[in-house]
Amino acid sequence: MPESDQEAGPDFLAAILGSLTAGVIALDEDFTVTWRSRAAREMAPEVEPGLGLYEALAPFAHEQKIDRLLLRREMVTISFGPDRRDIEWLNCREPLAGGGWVLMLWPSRWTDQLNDRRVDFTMAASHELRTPMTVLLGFAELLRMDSEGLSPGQVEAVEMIEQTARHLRTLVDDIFDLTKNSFGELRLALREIDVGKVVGAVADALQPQVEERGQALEVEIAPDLPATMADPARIRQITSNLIGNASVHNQAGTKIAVRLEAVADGVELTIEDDGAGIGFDDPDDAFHSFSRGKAAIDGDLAGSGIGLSVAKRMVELHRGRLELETAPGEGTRFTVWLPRDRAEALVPGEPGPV
Amino acid sequence: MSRILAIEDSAAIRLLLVRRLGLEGHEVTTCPDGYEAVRLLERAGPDDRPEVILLDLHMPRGDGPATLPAIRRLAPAVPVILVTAQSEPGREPALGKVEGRVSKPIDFDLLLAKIAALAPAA
Repeated sequence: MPESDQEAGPDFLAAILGSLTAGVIALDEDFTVTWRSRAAREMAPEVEPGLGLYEALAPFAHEQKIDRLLLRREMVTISFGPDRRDIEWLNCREPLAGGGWVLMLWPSRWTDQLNDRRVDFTMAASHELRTPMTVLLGFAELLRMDSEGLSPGQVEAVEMIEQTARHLRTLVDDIFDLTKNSFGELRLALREIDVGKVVGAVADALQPQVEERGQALEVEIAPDLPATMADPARIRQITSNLIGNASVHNQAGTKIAVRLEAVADGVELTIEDDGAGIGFDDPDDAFHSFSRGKAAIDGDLAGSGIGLSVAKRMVELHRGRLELETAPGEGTRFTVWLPRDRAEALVPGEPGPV
Repeated sequence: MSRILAIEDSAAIRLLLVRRLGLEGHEVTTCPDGYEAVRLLERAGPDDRPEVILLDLHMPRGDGPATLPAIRRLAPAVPVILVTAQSEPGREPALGKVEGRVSKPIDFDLLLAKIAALAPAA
């Protein structure tokens, strides 16, 4: 019996792959199926050699789910209809030496139900939180509208309550999105949009809040930007999270510059501030949910760390990139690149959590 | 300004609607559930019938989907605005057509604009 794959002949390896309970599918570097094991054929007969994986799975899984499997290398569950078992899929962590990928697939069992329960729980929790938030925001607003007779200190207290209640609402929305995204439930409503209009409207809406904090918001949107396939609600969320982040994490006197311009293969949005910088040893840590860097130690309690994580996920769903450059004391720059043509932006990113 | 009936199970939100919409000159009556709303509509004369109804989706007794058909039967011409804590239309229980919807937390500028658009001109 051979003891390592170097000694094993191709027949022996093929026999091992063929007898695995889990299915194995080999893809070339363009994600076209080149080979599949017997178990893979039984579980997903549609995924035939010669077909592209996107094409073969199109009737069962939306494009963004397959992106997560292939590009982010996360585990996804694909349902093949009521009469068949749901199948879990996982890509290999690293591409094969000659290019190409190997997928494993197996029937999902109780993990599905567990995930469903987690999604249901988050949905229910976010739903329950909306009633108290309505009351909190509504009465704070009412008090502010009718603030005659209140002292300046009391007016300030009302404003703090209102501001915090708004922040709470954003948090609940973000947690909801993050949960849905992590189970592949989040879909983009893609259409050709003018990103400039969306970004401009967000900046206009946030201007008063930023100025209230004693900061300046400068907006520069290039004319004649190409139409981009994107989900306007999500672009709004990304822009608002990034500008909001730049504002709440910095002191009065900070200048926040928002710039949107066309680049060779898409559009690029930069949000740059000259503030304190993000105090992470590794800037990428900023994108992890609930991580808040040194700011937390310094007593800046404004952010939860969810906003950036949500923004990154939303950009990746667009097959774009979100990058961060920062240094303590030298400000922070976020760059969002969105591809003009999604079909050409099929580039594997960093593997996600398994 | 309009006569508004708000059907809402949270007492705090009922008070908020009375105060906030009252500030804009609307006359707001409230009930805690669909059963009360039906009784109120049955008793209403032509002069105190609501001009707009705000309907909460989830209530312990007589929720939105159960109450809407009765509202349509008793007050067929009155526009209904659904006030929902559900963030996505897809997850709501099946419901007949409504004239408007707002989500919680309530954006009052939006709600007031919808009321103005739907209420019969004074």
